[in-house]
Amino acid sequence: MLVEIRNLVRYFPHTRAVNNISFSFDKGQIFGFVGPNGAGKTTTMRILATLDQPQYGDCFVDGYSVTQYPEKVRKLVGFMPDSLPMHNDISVWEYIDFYARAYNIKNPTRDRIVNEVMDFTDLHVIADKTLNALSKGMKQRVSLARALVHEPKVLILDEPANGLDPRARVQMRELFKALSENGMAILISSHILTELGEICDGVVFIEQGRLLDAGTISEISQRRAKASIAAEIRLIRTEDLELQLNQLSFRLLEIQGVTNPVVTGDHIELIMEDGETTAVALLRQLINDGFPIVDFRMKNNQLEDLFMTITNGNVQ
Amino acid sequence: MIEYFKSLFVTLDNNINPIAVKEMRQAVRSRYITLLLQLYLLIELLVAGFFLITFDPKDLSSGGADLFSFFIGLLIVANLICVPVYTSTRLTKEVRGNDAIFSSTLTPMQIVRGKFYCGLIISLLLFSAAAPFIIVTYLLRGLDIQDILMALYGAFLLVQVLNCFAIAFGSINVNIVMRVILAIVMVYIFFGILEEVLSSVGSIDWETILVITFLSLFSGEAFLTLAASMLSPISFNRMTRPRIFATASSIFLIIIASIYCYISSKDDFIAMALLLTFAVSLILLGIGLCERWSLSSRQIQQIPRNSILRILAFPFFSGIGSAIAWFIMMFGMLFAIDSFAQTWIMDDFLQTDGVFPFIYMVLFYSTCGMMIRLGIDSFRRSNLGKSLPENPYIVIYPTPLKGFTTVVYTLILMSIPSLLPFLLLFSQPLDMGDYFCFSPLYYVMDVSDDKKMIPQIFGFFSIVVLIICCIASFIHYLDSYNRRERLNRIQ
Repeated sequence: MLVEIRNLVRYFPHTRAVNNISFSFDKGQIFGFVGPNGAGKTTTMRILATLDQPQYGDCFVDGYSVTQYPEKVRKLVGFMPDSLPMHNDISVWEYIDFYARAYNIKNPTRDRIVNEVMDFTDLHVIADKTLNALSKGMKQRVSLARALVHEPKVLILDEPANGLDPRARVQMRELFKALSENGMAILISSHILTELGEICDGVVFIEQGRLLDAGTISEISQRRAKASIAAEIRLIRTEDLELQLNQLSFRLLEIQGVTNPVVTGDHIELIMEDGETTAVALLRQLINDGFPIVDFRMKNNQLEDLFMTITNGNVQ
Repeated sequence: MIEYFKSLFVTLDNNINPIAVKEMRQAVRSRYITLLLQLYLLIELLVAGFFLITFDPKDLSSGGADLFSFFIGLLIVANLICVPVYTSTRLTKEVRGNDAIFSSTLTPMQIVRGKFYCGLIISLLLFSAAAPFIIVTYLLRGLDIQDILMALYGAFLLVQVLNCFAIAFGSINVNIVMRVILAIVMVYIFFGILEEVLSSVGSIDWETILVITFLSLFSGEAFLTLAASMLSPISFNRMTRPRIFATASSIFLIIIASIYCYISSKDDFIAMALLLTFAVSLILLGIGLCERWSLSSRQIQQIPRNSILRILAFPFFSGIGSAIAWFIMMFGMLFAIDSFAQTWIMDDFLQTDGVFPFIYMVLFYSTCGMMIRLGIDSFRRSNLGKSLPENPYIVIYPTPLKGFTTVVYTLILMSIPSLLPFLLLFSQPLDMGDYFCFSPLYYVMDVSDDKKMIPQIFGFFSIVVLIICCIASFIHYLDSYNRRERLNRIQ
């Protein structure tokens, strides 16, 4: 694995920020880091970016320990913190150029890389503006460009979409996908779970410093899902839709393995006890019965549902 | 030819310190710097104008000197605001905000040097801005060119040393109480030196300039080295560089001083060299006692395989035990040179009244600070460690500066009894020595010989404790090495 977090522990005087968490992810993967406020996400990411030290445990990036060989890890990791760049009186181009210099990138390569990164993050238009004159969204972009300037293997993003408008969010999501396709391992913490769900290969749930679950979304869904699965059925829209829905509702009560059918607006919601096995038999039977079904949808546990199921919302 | 200059420019550009480039770019755009520079020029212009209007042409003997004193004072103050304060504030902001530069591959020394170069360039800018006004003072008479140049040189060195101090100050991530204490010390030292600089205008000779130059280079580099070690990750052997620097520069200083003493038959310089070495050793011991007890895995990997080198390297490793071993080594060297110098050229420096009792008292205070800190560490570990698996390299304090704070608090708490006599003096007459012998102010007062027994007893107790700590740490050092080798063999 490219990134491995092993038994990480970080205490503050009155808080157990990170309490013995372990997980790993590999190149080309995007992992979401999800948890309520104060769960320990930022602390873990800061340790991974060598900006903090654990009291116990360690993180390994490409086999290098962040505590023992931080200088080697720094070459491999790009970190975008949740705070915006605080350097005033410096232009966007100068800022990116400075970080290229800080990573010992020599000219003429440096100019090429700075230009490429600015192209990639679409910063050329504001290259001469000073950082303090930028909007929050633009500062986020600058921060991302800064994290990418040394072509890291691992990208750690702490709330990258925070404060961005919808267009900027979509653009940033596309950037992350492109980076992941180029083999970069990405760890993203975010509260916007719908967006995380769209780009993440895996998720790590954390609360009160403890790891609740980790893995791909389908793995966690399988682990966390009860035997029953929720589903919804829609019929073709006719004048007697309501009547047909009521008939369907009564029919569903007769079928084994189906519980709690409820007519909700223009569709029916139900629970299937044996999951997918029941679903196949149910669908076949309803079509044989002549119900004009146009949509049969099993409601998988999406990220938001998983988040609500797994976490308690406790803060410390 | 053009190609040659082009490639030369690229080479220069590639090798310039990135922090210096960034800081200079920021300084050029900074309203703070621009405003201060304009304000500075305006004040100089107004004062020079006012002086010229009210100047009596008959007073040619001191007119220029008076104006020069004002200008040099203003130059130092302007430099102080523009350089150390500006640098320290920015560095503190970056250290506290855990700026991204600390997750880049820049070494702590590069960061520190970059900050210093930026300060150096800004201060050169201020000195060049002052040049026309200084020329006016020369034309007004009362000072010769040599005095002016020497005073400017002294002021420049002072500003650079303060710049280095400010960088060291900014690199310490301590709380506001500690900042206030350190700032008071800094201001006190600064005004002391400023007074010396101003009073010595016209009376500085070349020997003094040489000594000042050496001391400035030494202390400036010492502050930068210390700042770099403060910015290094805790798992590093972060005190190695300061200790190597202190050892090498002390040896160099003593050799130069000995040669000078031999040639000139004056023992002042060697006494100063010994005093400086002694002071630096004590400061580094104090810092060393704030370090952690156990070795990190990275440090263990760095223990040399060669048995002689292994023993020699121990005093230069980070850690309490190594700090004590290094101090013993330095003190031994100092003692040997002192004994040798006594028979050769000078009086016994270490036998001077008050030196040994002072060492005892410092050792006692440091030991108390260390014991309190280790006690707190142990208490925290026992409270926090219940749910933790066994780990020999557990670091309860992520920053050793917490320890530094504890030691300074200890010193302050232990100094409180020294304030009691001032209160009691109003009620009944007392022998003040009874109180002061327990405080750092003891040596300010004249005390009778029988009272000197007390610091000796405390000093002896401290030496025993420190030696036990040193031996225990050395055993841990060797044990860590053996474990590493065993593990390597198994693998």
